[in-house]
Amino acid sequence: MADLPHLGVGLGYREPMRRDILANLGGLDFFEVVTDAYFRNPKALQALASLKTCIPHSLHCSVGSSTEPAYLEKVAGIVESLAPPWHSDHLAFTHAGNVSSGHLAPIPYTDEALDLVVQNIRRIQARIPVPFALENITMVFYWPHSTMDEHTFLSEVVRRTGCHLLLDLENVRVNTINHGLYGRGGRDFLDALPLERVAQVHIAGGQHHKGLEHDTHAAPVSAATWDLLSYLCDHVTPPGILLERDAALPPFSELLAEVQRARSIVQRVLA
Amino acid sequence: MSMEAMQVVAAKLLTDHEYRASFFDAPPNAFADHGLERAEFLVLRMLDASKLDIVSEGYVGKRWDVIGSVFPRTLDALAHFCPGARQTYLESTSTPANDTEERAAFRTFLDETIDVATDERRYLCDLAHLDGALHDHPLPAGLPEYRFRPESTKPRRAADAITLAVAGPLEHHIGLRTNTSAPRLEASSSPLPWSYSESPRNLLVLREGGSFTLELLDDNQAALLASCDGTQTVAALVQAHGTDADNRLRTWFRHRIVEDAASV
Repeated sequence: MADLPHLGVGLGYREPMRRDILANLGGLDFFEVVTDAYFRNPKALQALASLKTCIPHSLHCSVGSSTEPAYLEKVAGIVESLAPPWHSDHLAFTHAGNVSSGHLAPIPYTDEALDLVVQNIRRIQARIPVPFALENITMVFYWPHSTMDEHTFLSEVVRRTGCHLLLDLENVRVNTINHGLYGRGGRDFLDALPLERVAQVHIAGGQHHKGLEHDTHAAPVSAATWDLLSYLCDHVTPPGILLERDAALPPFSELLAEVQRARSIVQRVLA
Repeated sequence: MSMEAMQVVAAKLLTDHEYRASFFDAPPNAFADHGLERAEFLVLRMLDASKLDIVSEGYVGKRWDVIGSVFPRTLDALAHFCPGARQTYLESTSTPANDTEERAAFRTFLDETIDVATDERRYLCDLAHLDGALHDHPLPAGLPEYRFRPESTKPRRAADAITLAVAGPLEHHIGLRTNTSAPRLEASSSPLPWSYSESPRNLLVLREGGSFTLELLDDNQAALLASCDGTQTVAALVQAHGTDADNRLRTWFRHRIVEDAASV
């Protein structure tokens, strides 16, 4: 990770938080911005980017099916305007043919899918000369004909493309519970990844609904996810740790406290 | 196996409850009906239909969340005029490819589909127009920086200044003190009798901090704003448009309608 700057601990920028964020800039090290929200007006980010580093995070590169050139151009425009140390999207598909999946959908972990993902990431890297980080998602289902594990798949993508990882620890927690995929509460999953390639970490809180865990970003970070962050930081110091909160917004002081808790974990390990 | 064919079906399973039911109820030899080979069909039939139901519910909720994040005032008004709008919208529209298409689908829904009176439809469409503009043009961070020197300040229309062409008197129906208020309707009673006559006009959105007001952009103001191209000083503009232009330009600077081309 020597090639990436260490940004510290940040917050996912959302417009409803704007006033609180601007009033508490000192407590936040960087922001992540969802590119798709600014395609119509990329200039809206300029003022924010003049205050703190903004990491572009896109939603629909759909590396698991086809990365559309027109979409990639829009992302490239945002990335170029922000000049971030990296940008990111998900290991997922959001459309297949002309059909939308409505959200980030999982892909099968097969050789065919691996070739496709590698091809799409190389296309992104060729168009946007800024390090790209790939995020693990919450798997709403697990493809029964997968021939390898998620961590094997991710590791191979990283090896073949040289991309980085955006490690979403809440998604690890959710997948651990919903699918029983990873041992030791997700720690086995972390152990199997090339952690030196982690550019950024996501932490968030989810909710339990009808027997399943959901990555809603609408609750405080759970104890299990804090544990995963501590475990991760025992092994590496991620260049960026980011708190995501999209709904059921609490008093901003609570979000700042979570940011500070993450910062304390990193500092404890460094000390 | 065709990855794309399987993903197409998986996408439909996640977003279309009728398709989902038909897929899992279909006989084992119905694979061709779904564009799949037999092996592909069998793999997808191994998925847990009940879990897909739960996940799909979440997707539907997120669709409405997207709309609420862009059109908060419109949804407030919809709650008055058409309490069942959420369900009607989600049932009458397919899952769009992205948030941009979701927004477009919602605007079309207001314009063509929703069952409301003509005045109400006109009002909702104007309100959605306002919501979309406010969402797309958030105020830049910090206070506006300018020095108002009539002889050297050169007003130029700011990139995020919002003017709206609306169909009715929206400025009379929107909360004046906060950007989160619903339209001026009586919450406890039917909004009727109520009118929102067809009366096309141009409005200027004056924002400050977290609030905004809507101001009628009459011909004189429109001409003044059009002249704010960064080439003329305040003094020159006042000379051309009259003494009222001085106060007008001071207001516009404060509300970021214009910026000083001489210093920015």
